[in-house]
Amino acid sequence: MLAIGAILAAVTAVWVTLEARFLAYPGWLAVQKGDFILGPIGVGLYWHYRRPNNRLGVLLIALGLLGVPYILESTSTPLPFSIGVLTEYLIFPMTLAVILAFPSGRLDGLPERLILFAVLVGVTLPGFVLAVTSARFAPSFSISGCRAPCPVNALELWSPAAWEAQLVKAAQLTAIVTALAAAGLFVSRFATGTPPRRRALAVGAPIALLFLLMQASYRLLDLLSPHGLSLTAQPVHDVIQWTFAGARAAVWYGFLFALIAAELFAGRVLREVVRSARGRPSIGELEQVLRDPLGDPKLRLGFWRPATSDWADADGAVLDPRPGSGQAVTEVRRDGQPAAVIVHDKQLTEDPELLETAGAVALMALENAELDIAWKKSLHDLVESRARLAEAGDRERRKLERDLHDGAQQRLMGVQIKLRVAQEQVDDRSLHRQLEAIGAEAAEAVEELRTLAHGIYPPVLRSGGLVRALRSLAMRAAIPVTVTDEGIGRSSASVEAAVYFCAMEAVQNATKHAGSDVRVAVILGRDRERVTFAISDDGVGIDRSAGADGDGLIGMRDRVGAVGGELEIVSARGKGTTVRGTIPIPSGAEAQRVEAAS
Amino acid sequence: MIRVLIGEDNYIAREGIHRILEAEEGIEIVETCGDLATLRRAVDEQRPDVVLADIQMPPTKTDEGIRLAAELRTSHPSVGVVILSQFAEPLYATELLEDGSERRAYLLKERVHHHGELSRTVREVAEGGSVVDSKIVDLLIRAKRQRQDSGFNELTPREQEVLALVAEGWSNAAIAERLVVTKRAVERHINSIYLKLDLGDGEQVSRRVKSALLFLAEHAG
Repeated sequence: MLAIGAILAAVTAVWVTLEARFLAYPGWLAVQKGDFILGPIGVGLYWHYRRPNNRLGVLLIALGLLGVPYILESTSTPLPFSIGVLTEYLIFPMTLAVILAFPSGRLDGLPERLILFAVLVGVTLPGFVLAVTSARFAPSFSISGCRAPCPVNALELWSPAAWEAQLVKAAQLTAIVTALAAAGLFVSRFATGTPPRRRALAVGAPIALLFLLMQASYRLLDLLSPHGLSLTAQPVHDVIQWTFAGARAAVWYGFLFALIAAELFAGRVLREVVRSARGRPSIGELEQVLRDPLGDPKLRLGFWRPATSDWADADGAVLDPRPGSGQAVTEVRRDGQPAAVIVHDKQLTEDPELLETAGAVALMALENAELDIAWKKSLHDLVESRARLAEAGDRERRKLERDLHDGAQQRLMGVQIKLRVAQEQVDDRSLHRQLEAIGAEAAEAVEELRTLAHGIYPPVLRSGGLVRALRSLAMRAAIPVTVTDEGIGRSSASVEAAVYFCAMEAVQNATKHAGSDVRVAVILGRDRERVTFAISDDGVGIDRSAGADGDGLIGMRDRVGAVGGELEIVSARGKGTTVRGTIPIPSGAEAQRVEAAS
Repeated sequence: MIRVLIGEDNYIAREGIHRILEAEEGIEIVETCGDLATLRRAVDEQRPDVVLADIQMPPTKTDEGIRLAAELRTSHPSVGVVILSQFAEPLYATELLEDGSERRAYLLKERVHHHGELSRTVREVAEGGSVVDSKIVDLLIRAKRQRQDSGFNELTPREQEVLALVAEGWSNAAIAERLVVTKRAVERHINSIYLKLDLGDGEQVSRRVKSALLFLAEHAG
């Protein structure tokens, strides 16, 4: 609705101004006056929409609203005309206020307030005084001047005092000084500002700065040559006059530009951060990932720890979220709960688009990191579980083999002894023979038990260790097998079993599939913290490309994998097969624990 | 009188061995020990002729018997060792004979109650001979037969039989009796075998056990 009103008012302004015959530059002034309403109100509306918590929008709208009574300055009727001129003296401080409040929407510091106060006292107040004392109360804005005599001052109450000229001069001087002071303030703010502050000022301030400088120059010229200008000075005056007018009309567009630039910047920051995020930054690196694009080297990132109800930084140290000087705090929430906190340059609060980006990224990274930890833990648990299962399996087998030996086999041998003893006490030949036959059966049972036990878990592996077990395997093998021990040493029972059964499988494969005349070489070694083994045959090789590995190979991989090792099978037609593996051996304490468990 | 020291921690086996050896003439059981340390000490103190030891004994129950046999080769060279094992494990037999086969025997535990086997072995070892359980030799021969390369398959069937018996520790006379041939035939066979296989000297009975067994156990091809 305000927008509609503004448009209407602007149209009115343009029409009225164009009609005014007494004005020096009706055409341009019409544009300026129309823009004076539409510009600030339009930009103010947009600013308020994009940054509702920032009062600059409201200030701009107020400035635009002042443009409505300012229309009256274009009428030739004295009273409205005079009111219009009076409005100028309100517009002047309002414009300065808007400029000084950029970009935060507040007049924070003492200098700003002092300048505004000085303007109100030194310019507006005299203006109002002049309104009631001056015979001709003329517009003072650059292109608002009259060509023909301006309408008379309808507000004159008293006759001009002797000090009227001095008052005018004083007002002009104040205007110059305050304009320069404001300009200086801007420059110093830029020079001493943090990168975010500089970024904000750099885009929005130049036009305003230009306006202020032109303001000062124009008034200075006026002050120095009250009776008209020399020929040489005229062109300079013209340049300044038109620049002044143009700058005035464009001040708010600078602010609009600043707003758009901030959004563009936020977009670029997001792109940069996402690009950095592809490198999978850890939480610790995230602080840096945010600092660079935001231009805030002192930025801190903290994450909520529900367990201890406090904030912690990436290294786990407690983070005090209170802002230092020139800093502010932004909390990022997830599902209504505090999740992350960013301590950043105060300037960034005026860049809420940026903070939102940073917050979203921080949250994303946090979730990523949490997921990372979770899956790593899952993986770790899985690996441990697998190792435990393998160990348990081996333990069961060893137990079974032991039980067969210590139990059934011993018992059978006892039976054999007793049969022997009974045999000796028997004279009857037929009974003797029967006992002999029974003894033979018992012997066969012993043999079968022995073979069974050997298949479950070779006793020599349990009692003699891996190298012996492999040498024994070699002795019993149907093909020539050499065993070379390059210092593999002893390992835990699980590891030795894994290597043994792997080798056994490989030798069996070679016996069955590698063709006739094949030889197998087993090489065992140790390399720092790993045992290494290789079983190679010079047979016909396997065609690995033909589908998945067979059960035996899968079994080998599983066994070796379960104890944390790796297996590599290299085979090609005509080139034989090599099964190569490494298994890490736990150091010191862990090894003892493993030994004790078996 | 052959003085025998027994190292065996399993009750049933101990009883069995005791009963069988007690009944034998000329064999005296001097002491029975339950672990390696005690056995070692007993060897020092008792100076037996033969030590009869289980391959597995406390403390680790892995290969105490074999280790003791190796130690005694240098510390008490005149003491014979008979290893008793539940395991038909050729590897252990070869390890036992590594330092030479004189005065060394490897028997499976069930052999204990085959009539007279244990006492025969004890006597053989006391006289400096060697005995290897036929089951061990059987296992090795079975493997050898499957191997296509081995020189073993170049031997005649008779020669193979003879070699097996040589590895078991039999003397020429015993082999001749066993195969029902003349001693002369046995000698000829042995010469032929040792020549074909290039095994060295086949005369010394106790020493040749090692070479025969090692040949049979040879797996590198």
